[in-house]
Amino acid sequence: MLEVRIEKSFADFHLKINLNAGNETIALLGASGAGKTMTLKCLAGVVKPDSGYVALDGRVWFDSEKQVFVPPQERGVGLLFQNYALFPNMTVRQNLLCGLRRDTPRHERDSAVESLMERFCISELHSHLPSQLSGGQQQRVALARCLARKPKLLLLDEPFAALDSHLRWRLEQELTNTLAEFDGTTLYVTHDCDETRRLCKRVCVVHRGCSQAVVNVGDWYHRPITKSAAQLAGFENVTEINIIKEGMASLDEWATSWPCEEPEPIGVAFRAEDASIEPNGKDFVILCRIVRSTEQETIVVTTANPSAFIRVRAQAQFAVGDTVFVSIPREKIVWLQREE
Amino acid sequence: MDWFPLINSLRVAAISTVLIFLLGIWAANGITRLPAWLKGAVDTVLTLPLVLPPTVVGFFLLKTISPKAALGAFLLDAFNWKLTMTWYSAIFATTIVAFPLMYRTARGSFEQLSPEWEACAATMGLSRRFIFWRIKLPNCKAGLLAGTVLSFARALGEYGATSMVTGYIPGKTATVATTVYQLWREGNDGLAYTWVLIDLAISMVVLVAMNMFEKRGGEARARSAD
Repeated sequence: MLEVRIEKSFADFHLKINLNAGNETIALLGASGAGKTMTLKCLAGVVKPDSGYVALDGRVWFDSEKQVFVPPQERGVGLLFQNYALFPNMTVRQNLLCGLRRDTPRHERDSAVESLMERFCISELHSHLPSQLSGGQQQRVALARCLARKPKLLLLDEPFAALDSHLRWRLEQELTNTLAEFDGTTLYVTHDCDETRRLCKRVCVVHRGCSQAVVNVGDWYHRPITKSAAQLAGFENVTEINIIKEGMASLDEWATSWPCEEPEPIGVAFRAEDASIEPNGKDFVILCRIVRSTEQETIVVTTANPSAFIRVRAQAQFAVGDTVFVSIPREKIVWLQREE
Repeated sequence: MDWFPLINSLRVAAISTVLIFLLGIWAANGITRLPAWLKGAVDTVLTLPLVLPPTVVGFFLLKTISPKAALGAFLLDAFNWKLTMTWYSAIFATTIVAFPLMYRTARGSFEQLSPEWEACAATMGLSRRFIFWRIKLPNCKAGLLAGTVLSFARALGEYGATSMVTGYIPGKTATVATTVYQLWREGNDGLAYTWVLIDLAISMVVLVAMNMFEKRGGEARARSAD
């Protein structure tokens, strides 16, 4: 059980993370610069938070009130950076040896390295330098190295960001297997919606340094609660709203108003695939002009505002320049709450 | 021909290079751990000898270690240490003047190291000492060597501060640089040219060596960034 409650201030940024995790893989999902990597560094103990509390399975690593701070050396955390951070002056074997406790006898460490290399299929590479390895091989070595000390907490920082897309899927399967065998908590930092859905069961959205409530991946993907969560879930159309009167919301950017039963929403979102173009419409519609039609999608602007772009699923039967209604089924509309 | 100036210059430069190597790396590594407000001030002080005229360094040195200054007088009284007008006086002068070259090159090398290595190493349980000796130092070897060679070259060529603290005593404190000046004053152009050529040759060898180290460092960096 991982308990995190930390805050840290920077010149132009405030980090505030609240998170509890069991033996599971949780996605730490956020745009770049949201503070995901800084969160990992605080958990690893490389960076000291200003205040708060961090504990794993009851062992307190950081408690600002009781002046507890366990250095990274004693936490037993596996940390994997997106560029893998293999030591360039050491061979694969030496890199792995670094990952093992130095107070164990040499022959035990040697056999541990052997079995690690076997498990990650890198035995032939034992005398290679990191610069001689492909991206995928580097990732295997780095993963082996950070699992060497049998950590109870695994921190993965965008492990696929540095890889070509054709390699990713394969390595993702390997990582899935590794994570399934791993007995502990994994925090998986990413900004990728699909990766999150494939690798994690629960997700914690981080927006401008603030974590939001941990939710199930399905709930987040289909019913995101905040604007940032909706954007990260791939909702193409997101706008802000004002409640003008009881049960009626005004969507100023899109020059329309929709009935709304939600308590105090501040925004609304829908997916391009859920919206269709109709010659005329009723409740949840936007009056638009078609500006572009591609194989993938149709792009329209509202008749009132030529820079208010809305993305709709491709519909070839309408011509560019036509004035039409964009219509969204009631159940596909997501009302958004204030960011936490 | 009397080879003393060359031998003296080389031993002074060699000893001060060893000192500069150790002090420069120590300072460059230590300054990263200072709080931000102190970092700027310390950095300024450590870099100052690079931009100050060497005569100013010499002046401050004399005001500290000459027998007329408080510290110099004390050392002379207590230990019978005379720190000026001896061959090793030049070590103080060249060490201070050439120090910033090593310090700044080393600092640049340390800053180019990926901070993730240190973070990863720490989570793997590796001590600060291990990280410094086995990860940081080997990975900025090229930069440190270049800085060392550059400091050596500067120490070898130092004139201003050296002449102030050692004067020019043939066979005792004369260096190549002070000898060239003395020969020119005496109008002995022939011998002056000989020393000038020797100095040119040494400097060129040193600079070629430095370029080789830097090139190798650049290639290593390019490879690790790949």
